[in-house]
Amino acid sequence: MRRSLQASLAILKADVASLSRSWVLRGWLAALLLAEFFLIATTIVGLRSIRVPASNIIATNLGGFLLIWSTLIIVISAGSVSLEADIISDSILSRACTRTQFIVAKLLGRSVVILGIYLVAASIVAYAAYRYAAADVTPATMAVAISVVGLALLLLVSLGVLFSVVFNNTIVSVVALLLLWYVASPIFVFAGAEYLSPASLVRNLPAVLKDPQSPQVLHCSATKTSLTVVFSEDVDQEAAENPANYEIECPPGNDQVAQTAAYDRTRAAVTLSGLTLGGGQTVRVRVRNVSDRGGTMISEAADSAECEVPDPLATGHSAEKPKKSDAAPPRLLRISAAPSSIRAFFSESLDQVTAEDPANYRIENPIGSPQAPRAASYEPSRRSVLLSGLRLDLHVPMKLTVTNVRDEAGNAIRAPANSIVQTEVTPWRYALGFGVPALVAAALAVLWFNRRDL
Amino acid sequence: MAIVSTHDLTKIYGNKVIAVNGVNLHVEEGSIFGLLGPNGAGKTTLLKLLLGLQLPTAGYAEVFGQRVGPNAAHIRQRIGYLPTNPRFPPNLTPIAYLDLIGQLFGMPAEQRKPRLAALIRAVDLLPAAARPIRSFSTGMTTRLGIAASLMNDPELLIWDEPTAGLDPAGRKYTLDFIQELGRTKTVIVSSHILSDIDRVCTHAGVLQDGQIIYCGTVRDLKQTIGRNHVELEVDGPDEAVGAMCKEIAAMPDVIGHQLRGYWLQVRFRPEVPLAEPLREVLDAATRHHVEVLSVSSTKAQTEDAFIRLLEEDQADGFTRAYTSNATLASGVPGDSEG
Repeated sequence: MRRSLQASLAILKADVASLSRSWVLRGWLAALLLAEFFLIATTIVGLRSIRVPASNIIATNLGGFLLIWSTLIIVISAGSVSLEADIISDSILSRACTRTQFIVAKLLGRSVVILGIYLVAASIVAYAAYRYAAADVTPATMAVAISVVGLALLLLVSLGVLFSVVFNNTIVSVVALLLLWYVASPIFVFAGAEYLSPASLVRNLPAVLKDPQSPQVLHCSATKTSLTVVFSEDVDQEAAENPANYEIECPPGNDQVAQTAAYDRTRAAVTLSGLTLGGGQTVRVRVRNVSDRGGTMISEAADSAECEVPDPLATGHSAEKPKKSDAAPPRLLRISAAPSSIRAFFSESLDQVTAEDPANYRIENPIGSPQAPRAASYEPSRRSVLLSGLRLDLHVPMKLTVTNVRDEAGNAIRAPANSIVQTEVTPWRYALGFGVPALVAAALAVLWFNRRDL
Repeated sequence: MAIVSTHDLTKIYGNKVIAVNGVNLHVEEGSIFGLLGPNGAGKTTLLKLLLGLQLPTAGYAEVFGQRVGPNAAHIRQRIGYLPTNPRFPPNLTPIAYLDLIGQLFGMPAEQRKPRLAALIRAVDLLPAAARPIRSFSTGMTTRLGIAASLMNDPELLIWDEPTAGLDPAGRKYTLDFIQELGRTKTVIVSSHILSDIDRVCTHAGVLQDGQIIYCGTVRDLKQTIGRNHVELEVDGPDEAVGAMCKEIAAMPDVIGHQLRGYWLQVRFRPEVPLAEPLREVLDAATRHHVEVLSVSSTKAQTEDAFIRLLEEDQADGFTRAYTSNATLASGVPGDSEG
């Protein structure tokens, strides 16, 4: 066992040392260094005035590995065995070394070098983008995106070694892999195997990177001179403390402007003061331009709250609340899909009867294949409707169209704000799409190499 | 005890080329076994099959009593292999390469380092120890290959055409080394240079078109086929030599002769003891005032034996194939050991 491990490590070290002397690798490192330097410099210096989202910068960098640097990775991995076939036979495999040991060491050596370079470069750019650009990402989404692209590169390395073993000719291996990586990629998308396609991953990288959790207004509370708004998560302090970001009506229709805004990070709450609010009246507040610390803007579906100013004279049998004046129709803001249900979020409270009529909802999944929900359940506190009894494929686009649903004032939902098309981006699908074939390719390389003459 | 044995070992490349055809070979422990054969006879393929570098199409090979396969590292642990015109990692120095080999054999550093230093000195590569292998001449690369094959102090050495491409000094050095190693190890050496085999080997196998047509001792090879064949180096006037040749041709025990420059090859009837007809030939030379500078040549004997074996094999090709087919049909394993 110890001898076997020593042999494997010896081949691994020899392969890494041999790679480090390769001019292809050195050329790649030089070009990569220049490109990364340019990207980081642009992020830090050039984007002070124009705040480009970090997700775009990181996606550009990761996309470069999948679409540009992949050419060099193909050359490095596809020549791993075929370039030195006769040397391998004479100098390594005629000694006390099994073929499995050899090919596994080759796979590991190439993977360690290529993924090592990739991880260092990707992490530096990701950190710079997170630190200096408009941060619409979180460390978790960055880690997921970097890992998924890393798996795609691992697949490329495994395929390269496999082709090198099968074809035993470096040029043929390189050409075959270039064709598979660049030409067959769009075919995968057309064939419905989107999660096997590097082009599809490049297209969806910004979505993978973006923070999926928008901050929301949970509730508010008022006194006669101040209003406290509580958020669902920690928000950007500078935006939270800008009174211009709050539209306050008390009573509804009567605009008020706060004098100051003080943010309390521990409670994720902002207190707006300098207001004149009547006791027993309803206060409506709508928050704008406030984002979380990751840069994700507040959700339009939950950007407002209503509360009542306490009236010390009230006995508990207060007079009827004044009727709201509302001429704006409700809007469909977003949907969240599960395999058997969809939750639809609206811009305002709905009329329960129309909201809970399943006939008012039409789901197309994929687009062009309609189905109707069996049930619709309205949840006033979240201004959302849960549509259940569906059979959904989350990996193909879906479209929800809402008709005849009204708000509490009787305004019916209207086009174009009555439909949404959504393609769910699930990073773990990409992880499986690249990870499993990478393992299969590696296993095939081992099997084929064991059945080959040297 | 047979240290190497093959059983109907066959290798066919892509249903196009039959490289090794039903070879049954046995190499005894402690012998220096020469694998003879013309270029393309299948020698290298046979040796690679013994190492597990190639996979047999049919049959199998056993080394140290165990079946050989691609992952038979435990068998190769006891073998030292020198490939023909070896190719080693061009960027490595001899020290780095031998160190890698030592690690592959699982040798600890305290054993590996002194061993590689001693071997580099032994194969006279000390002045080139810091140079990359790509700058080596053929002879230096072969010497490095020899050192690599001895790194693990193997019980069995398999050297494939070790004298190929070497100058006379390098060739002598290598052959002397094989003889020296043969005292303590079993050695299989392949070559198409007959004198090399003749000089160092105790046993030989002759491979022709992928089949073994002779397997036995070198002595038996020469005695079986070449015992009534002498070569004389003669000097004298052309007329005298011509007259002597005529007289020799007329001798009842002579079945053939051939004059090439100063070399006269004479073949006698195999059933007649060699001494008497040879004395008559020497007498004829004396009578015609032709000076005999030397008699016989082991090289020529072996060479002739080898060529005759090949000729007979070609002539008997159909018969052998027919016999082999008949044997197969009757279910009895064929024996192609000649």
